[in-house]
Amino acid sequence: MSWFMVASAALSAYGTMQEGKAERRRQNRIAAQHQENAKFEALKAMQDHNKRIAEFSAYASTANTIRAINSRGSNDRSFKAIIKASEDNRDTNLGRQNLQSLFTQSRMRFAASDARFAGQQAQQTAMYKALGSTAMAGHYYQEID
Amino acid sequence: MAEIKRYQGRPAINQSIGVVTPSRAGVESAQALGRLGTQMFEMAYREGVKEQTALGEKTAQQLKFQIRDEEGNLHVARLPDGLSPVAERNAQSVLDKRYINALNIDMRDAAIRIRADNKNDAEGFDESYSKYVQTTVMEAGVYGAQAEQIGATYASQHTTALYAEKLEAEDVRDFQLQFESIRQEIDEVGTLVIDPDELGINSAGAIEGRFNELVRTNGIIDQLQDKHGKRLGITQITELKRLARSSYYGGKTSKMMNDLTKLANEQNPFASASIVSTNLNYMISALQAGSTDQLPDSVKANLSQIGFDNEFLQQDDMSSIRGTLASKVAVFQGNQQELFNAQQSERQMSLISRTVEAGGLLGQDDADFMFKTVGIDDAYGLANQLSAILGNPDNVNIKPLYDVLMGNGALPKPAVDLLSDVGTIRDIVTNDPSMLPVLQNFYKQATTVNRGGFTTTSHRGMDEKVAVFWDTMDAYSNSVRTMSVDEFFARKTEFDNMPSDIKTNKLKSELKSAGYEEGGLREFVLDKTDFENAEQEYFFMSYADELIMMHGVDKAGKILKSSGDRVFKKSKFTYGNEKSRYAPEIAYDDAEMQVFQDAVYEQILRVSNGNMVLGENVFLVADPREGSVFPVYTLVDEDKVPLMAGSEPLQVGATSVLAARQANRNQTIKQLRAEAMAERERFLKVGLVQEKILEADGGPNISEIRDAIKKRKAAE
Repeated sequence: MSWFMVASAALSAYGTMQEGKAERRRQNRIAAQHQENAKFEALKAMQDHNKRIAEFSAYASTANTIRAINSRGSNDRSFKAIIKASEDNRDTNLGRQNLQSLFTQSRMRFAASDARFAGQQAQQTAMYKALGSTAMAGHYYQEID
Repeated sequence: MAEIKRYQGRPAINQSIGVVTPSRAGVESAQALGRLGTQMFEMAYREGVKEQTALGEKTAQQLKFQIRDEEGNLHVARLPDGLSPVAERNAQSVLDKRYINALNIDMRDAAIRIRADNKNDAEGFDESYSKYVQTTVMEAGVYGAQAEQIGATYASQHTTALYAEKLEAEDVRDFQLQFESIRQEIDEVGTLVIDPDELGINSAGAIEGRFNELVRTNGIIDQLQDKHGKRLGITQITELKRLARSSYYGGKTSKMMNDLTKLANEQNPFASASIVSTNLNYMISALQAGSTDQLPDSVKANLSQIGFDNEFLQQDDMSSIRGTLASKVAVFQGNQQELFNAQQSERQMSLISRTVEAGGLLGQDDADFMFKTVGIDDAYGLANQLSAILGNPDNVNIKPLYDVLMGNGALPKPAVDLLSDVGTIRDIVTNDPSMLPVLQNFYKQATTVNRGGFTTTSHRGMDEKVAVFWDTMDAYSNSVRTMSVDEFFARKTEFDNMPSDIKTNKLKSELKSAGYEEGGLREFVLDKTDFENAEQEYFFMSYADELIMMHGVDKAGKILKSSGDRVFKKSKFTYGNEKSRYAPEIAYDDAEMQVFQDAVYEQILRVSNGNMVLGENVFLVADPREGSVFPVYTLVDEDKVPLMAGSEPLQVGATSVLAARQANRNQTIKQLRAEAMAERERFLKVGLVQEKILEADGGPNISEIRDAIKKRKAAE
């Protein structure tokens, strides 16, 4: 019976170790996806920034045209004040959007890191479990030997 | 101016598409593998546990241990090494159970043993058993707690039981004392009433008072029931009262019987036994009927003198014990008869002893009686005692027996059988060969009579064949023995059982080889014995063939010659000079010969005036038909012509001799009868009839009982 118990204990430990490895692999895949998502979020922020710059350029051009039509000089203080206010608004939104993007990326990277950590922990846990069950098997074996 | 609008396309912005959760299939597969391994392990483990459990239980069950060694030291049982933990745990539990059981038995036995050593002593038991328990607890190690618990249980049980037993024992002792006291009182009342004093504590009135105190309501016996009723059977009180009545009235009846004996002796001392017996019979019938009304008036009057009347028989409490009293009277009657018979036997024995002492001759009946009295009933009994009798003729107790055996009268039947029955002799001699010379000497001494200067032979009531037999035995003993005793008797038996034709052929062959002619048995007998007449010839011829067959021709001749000298004698009184088996000198001793001669002369005087003298001109001729023990003779003259008184021939037999013997005995009987009467008078005067009966029953006599009562009263 002893060989059978040893084989059974080994099989049990092997299964537990494999379970840990499988879980780590799974968590790594989840982490990779979060990492990818963070990159996409950075790309999205850049694209959004460019879009907002482009929209402001179009506004400035339109406003300048309309100023000309209205025969106002480029040094028209009103005009300048309007432009200035628009620029401030533009900068404020850009800053907020950029900040939001950075938060989002940071969170996604955290998720990736956390998944990897979970994978590592799962493997470590499996190893501990395997060690524990092996030790327990040894104890049990001693009981009857 | 026309405005050309610029393309304002909607900007496309990339963004994340979320997270796809990867499958857990790999994880679950690995989990399943792990569970498989775990389950397999658990299965194997469970099997292993089962196996080891069984092994452990078996090991513990089969483990031999001794709880105590020979010195009484306690030993703790231990499991053998090498068992797995599971097996060991299971074994230990079984072993614990077994060991505790053994410990329990050991402590139980110790408690029983110590209790037996401390009967009715609870404190003693507690002390001893506590020491034992303490020692056991110390030695029991891990089982100390159990030992303490078991010990406490047994200590409690036995101590409680001992206390209960002690109380019970005290109660039983009290009951026994009281019961025994009542029994003693019943016995005393029954004994004292037989012979009450005139006055004092043993007067009839005082004894009656004691009796009434026993049986009255709330009396001594009822008090016993009140105190110890549970120890008494349902009928025991009734039985005790009945016993008391039986004892008291039985004692009164005994007194009446004693009085009756005295009364009968006063009325007719010579027929007192008969009077007593008759009156006792009437007493029995009156007790059975419960009245004396049916008795003859003379008997009624007689019995009323001793107090046996209707007043006695019809008392209130008499009805239940009259049957018992009737039995008691019957026993008394039987005892009296036994005493009477014993006295008769004693007198007869005394008479026989005196006859022997006086040198008188005994008849065979008297001789038999004497030997039966001393317990010798047959030849084997006599053989056992023969050496002692022959070797101690001067012993007072043995001398009468010796005198009878060596005297002149008839031998008792055991002696006759011992000397003449070949089968008996064979049994005794083959069992103990040393008895052969004893028997030979016995025969010689018993049959040889010294007649003052010469000896003669007396047959003592035995056949002549016996003489031949003992001569044969003599020849066997005194010759070079060619055969053992066993062989001798075997040869004799063989000869006795041999068919006659074979016997004849063998005999002829023996005689022929010895030089005698064929069929020459007569020549052989004549050659060896010189027989003188037909009587001798017939006698010798009767045994010669047997002797030749057993001993051969030479030895047979010697035996025949020797036998002839014993059996045949010359007599100066018989006719002719030939030896005869019928010589009166063989039959009678010197004193009796004188009586015999007187009887002869009485006959002679019938026909003679005094010139006829026995042995000179008058002779005796024996009549063989009467035998040789007490022969009858015809008187003849010198020509062998019978003497006649008228038409009657003159004859003399043993009558006169036997009459003389009887006369001698009658005289002795007269003396003995006088002595016996004197003894009886003395016996009745002291009134010890009842004492004799008590002694016969093996109990104490009245004097002893009286002394015991006096001592007890004095102590109280």
